[in-house]
Amino acid sequence: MPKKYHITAKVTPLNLDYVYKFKIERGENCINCGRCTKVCIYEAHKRGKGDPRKMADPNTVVCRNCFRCIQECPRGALEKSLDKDFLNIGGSYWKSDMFITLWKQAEDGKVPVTGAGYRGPFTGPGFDSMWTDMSEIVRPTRDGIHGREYISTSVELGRKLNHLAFDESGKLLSKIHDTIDIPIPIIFDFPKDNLSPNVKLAIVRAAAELNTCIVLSPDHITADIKKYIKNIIPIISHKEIDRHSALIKTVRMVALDYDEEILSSLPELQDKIKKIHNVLTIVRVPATKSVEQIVSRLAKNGAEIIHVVADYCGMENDGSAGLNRRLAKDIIRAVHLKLVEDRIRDEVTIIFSGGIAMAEHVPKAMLCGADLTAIDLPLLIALGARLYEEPEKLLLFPEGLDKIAVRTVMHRVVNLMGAWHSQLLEVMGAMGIREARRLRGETGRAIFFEEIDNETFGKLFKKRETANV
Amino acid sequence: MKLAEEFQKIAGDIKIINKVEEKEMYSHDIGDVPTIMTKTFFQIQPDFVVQPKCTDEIKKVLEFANARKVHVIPRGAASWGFGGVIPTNAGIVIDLSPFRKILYLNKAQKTITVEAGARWSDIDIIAKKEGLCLMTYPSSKFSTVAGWIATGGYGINSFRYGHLINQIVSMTVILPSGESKKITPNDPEFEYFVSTEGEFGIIVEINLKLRDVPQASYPHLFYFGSDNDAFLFIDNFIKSGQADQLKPNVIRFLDENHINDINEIMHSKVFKKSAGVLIEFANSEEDNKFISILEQNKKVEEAPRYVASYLWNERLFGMKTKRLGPTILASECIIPIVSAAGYIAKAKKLGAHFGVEIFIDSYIIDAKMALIMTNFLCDSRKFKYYIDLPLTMILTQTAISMGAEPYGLGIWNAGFINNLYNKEKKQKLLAYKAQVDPNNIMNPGKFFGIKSKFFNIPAIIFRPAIFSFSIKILILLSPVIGKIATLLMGKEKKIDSLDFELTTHACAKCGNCIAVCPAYLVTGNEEVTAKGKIALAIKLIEGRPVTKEEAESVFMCMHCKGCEEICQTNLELMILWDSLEKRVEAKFGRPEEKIAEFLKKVDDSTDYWEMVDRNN
Repeated sequence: MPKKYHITAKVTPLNLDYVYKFKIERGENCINCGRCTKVCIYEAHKRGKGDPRKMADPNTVVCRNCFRCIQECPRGALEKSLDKDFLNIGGSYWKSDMFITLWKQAEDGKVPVTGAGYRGPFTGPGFDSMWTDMSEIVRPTRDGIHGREYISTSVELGRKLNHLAFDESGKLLSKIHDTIDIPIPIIFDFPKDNLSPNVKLAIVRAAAELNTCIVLSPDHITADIKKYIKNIIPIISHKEIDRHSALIKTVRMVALDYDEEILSSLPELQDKIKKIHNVLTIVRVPATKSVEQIVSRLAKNGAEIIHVVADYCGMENDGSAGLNRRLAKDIIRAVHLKLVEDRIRDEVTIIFSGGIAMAEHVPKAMLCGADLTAIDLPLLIALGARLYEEPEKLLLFPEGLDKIAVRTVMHRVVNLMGAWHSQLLEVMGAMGIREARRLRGETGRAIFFEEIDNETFGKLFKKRETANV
Repeated sequence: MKLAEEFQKIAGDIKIINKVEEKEMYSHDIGDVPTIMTKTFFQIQPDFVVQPKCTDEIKKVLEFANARKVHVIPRGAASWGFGGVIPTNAGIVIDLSPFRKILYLNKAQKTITVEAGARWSDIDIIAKKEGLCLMTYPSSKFSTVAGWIATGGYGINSFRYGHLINQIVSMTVILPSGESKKITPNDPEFEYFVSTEGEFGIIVEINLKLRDVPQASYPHLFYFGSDNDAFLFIDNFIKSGQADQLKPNVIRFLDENHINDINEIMHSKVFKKSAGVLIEFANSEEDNKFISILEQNKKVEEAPRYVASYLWNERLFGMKTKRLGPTILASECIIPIVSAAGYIAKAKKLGAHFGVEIFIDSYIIDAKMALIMTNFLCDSRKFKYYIDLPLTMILTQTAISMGAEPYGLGIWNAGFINNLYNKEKKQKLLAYKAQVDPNNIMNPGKFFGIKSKFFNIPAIIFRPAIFSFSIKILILLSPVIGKIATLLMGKEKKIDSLDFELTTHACAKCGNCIAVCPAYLVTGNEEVTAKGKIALAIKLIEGRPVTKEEAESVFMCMHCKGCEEICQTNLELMILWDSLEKRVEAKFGRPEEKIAEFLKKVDDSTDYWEMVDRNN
């Protein structure tokens, strides 16, 4: 059995200007009795440092919203209310709650539990309408994380054969393609936003630390970043292959931006790259209306890895603001089913990115048919960034982030992935799946709300609109 | 010093307070009598103070005192201002204020058993949780049960429920001999322990009657053109039998000066500047009947209900007027209702001679009598104060000459004893005193007769005959003395706002803060209370020597704001503490370790957490 892959988290609080869902406020009628310090198990309440006779301001950072202090305060002096600033973060896809989760995950790599009891939505748009199988949850699933059981989260990237051919003497005829193994089904997609050098370097280092890869444009590959070249996937235009031949010689994978020329010339382009160096080629395709057709044609043309890119909210990327744009779940399923239909699904690796915001989105995207996922925004949110969807996409970085040590920033990203990895293990353990590769397209391991809704009530209410549920 | 050490040997774990600066708190009461005066007459500093936790400890103290013939002065919240708890010749102060547990509430019989130092406010809170409440209570609701039994006994709701004596089922007293005795109102000895100011023994446990929590409160406030009209209204209301039928809880009279002072404190004109009568009912039925009676009597002018309610809710903050002072001097008497208005007119005239404004607060206690408090504002920091002081006695003498009796004796009214008890009654009391307290250790040197320093010569003035005579002369001379003093030193002017210094003088020393102070609960040291800290602030302002240890007690504070909440004078205490702490810190530094130790002690105290939860 290979050595277990483990991400070691390290508590890395960042003293940045966070926003929290609930603000605890101490009223004027506080009698400084200190009951709150006793009942809070998270140490949100402490006596003042300067004057221990008076209570310090509540530390909302560590508060887990258990409301115990509020209930137990003999004077009813504590109040907890939704923070307006908090509610403004994100938008209809990037819910403000997600930020709390991501910030917390990045802080200590633990899986945060929010609230008491399950108060999450049972259904909703996109991934929220998917429920993953938990039939095996009765088994000690935590063994998969900490114990005896071995659950592999690694995935292979590259072209695979449909079948093997042997000669009469039993000798293998087929030439087996090279593949690359990465230990988690997540690669980093380098965010386009202007990042300070420390953040840039830290994200690359985190990718190296985790032994995964990061997609990066060549002009970002500065001297300090070159050290980690084995974990970098340069993204170039197919017209610039020659210009970047030196770079290609040092890497394991290269990504090409899709354009129509690639459709027909892919085999030649891949050959050309292979001649420079034995690297795998990723074709990066925007998730437009007809993305499954493009993916299918690329696959038929021998594409090794295809990266389907939806917009940052996981929606189709056709530039229109129409309401009938497909969501990540449906895009991936369409691509996957098209390839299955064409009987070439096993031969090609599909990466999906766009709207992968939470740990659970990784196994869900895989169940829908992706081999792995790529993420960008969660990496920045891990560093305390706030995202606003309205009136247009806006990313706000905390002040002073450019002065934080690279190690600290890196640890935050590693922590985040540690938390996601643990959750992936949990989900797989609950399903009874031992290998992440097997998740791909296993829709039998998920329940789709629209389907059961239709199965259960369809006969009664035929006209029920399920489209947007 | 020696005495305390001697006692220490046999004390076991009885808590003894023996530090000079801590004992100082036990050398005066709420009264604003200048220390210079009390010190001239008496040895007011006790030898030491004990804070007993149980009756056995009290017995031990009495045994010791009897053996050494040392005086014993029982003390509650010290919220009565006539010197009842001030030592006259040192001795042992038994501080019953921390002896305050509420022992047992009998819901079925509607009674509650409490220790001597239990606070009326605490009893009310506990009882209300069971749907019961106090029948009567003093306007200083944070005073102790035994304290009120041993002194006045008339207060809020007395009109309906009568004197406090009617609500005592039984009580346990410890006689000076150490014998403990459970007595009920049917026992002949019972009368010796009510309103007798600790002359015969120490009350340790009381079983009190409670009543059901009333529906609501229905107060009415009426305005009258003159004090006379107001008392006529009250008299008619009672004589017509209406009062008997409707059973109001309270009938209270306030003169126009008093009502106007409330306006001035609020900087508003909520009240009409005229004499007022406040009548309060506990249920809507009685209230409705009262309203229908009123309708027939269209002549009376009634204030809106919210105004009446405000006045009703202010009943526990009688000392607020001190904000205008900063000193209040008062004379308290029980006077026939029919004489009240005449007396008030005389009192106001006397006040005018002295350049002070008399204001009146009066509770009708039964069909015939009214408890009347004649007050005036002055300033204890000024010399004229010493001219103003005898005015209180002049006022009491005036009331007595109109058929009143003094409401308690203590030190300052001891000269009026013959007006409170007739010869026969006094003989009876003295005989009982000789019987139970042959060594005369219980609170001596007051009540029956003043004993002072300097071979008792200064005390001669307090001999009833001489006292009465000299006061009468003062009354005759008052137009002259008062006017000369006023001419030379000016009239008393009201003040508008309080600064650091004035705040310390406006403190009424009522001790409300002691009842709610968690730091006091845990340390048992009055220095840490608001009252104690204000005493310290005054010392600092006056530049008197202050030890580091004494000063550091200001830091033993939870900043719970309890004292500010219940302050009778409504002082801005939290601001005061901040600036006092700063002053002390600048002089002595900040005792971080002591503070930490204090916090730990508070945190470990079950009493503290009980107190926190009680008000939950």
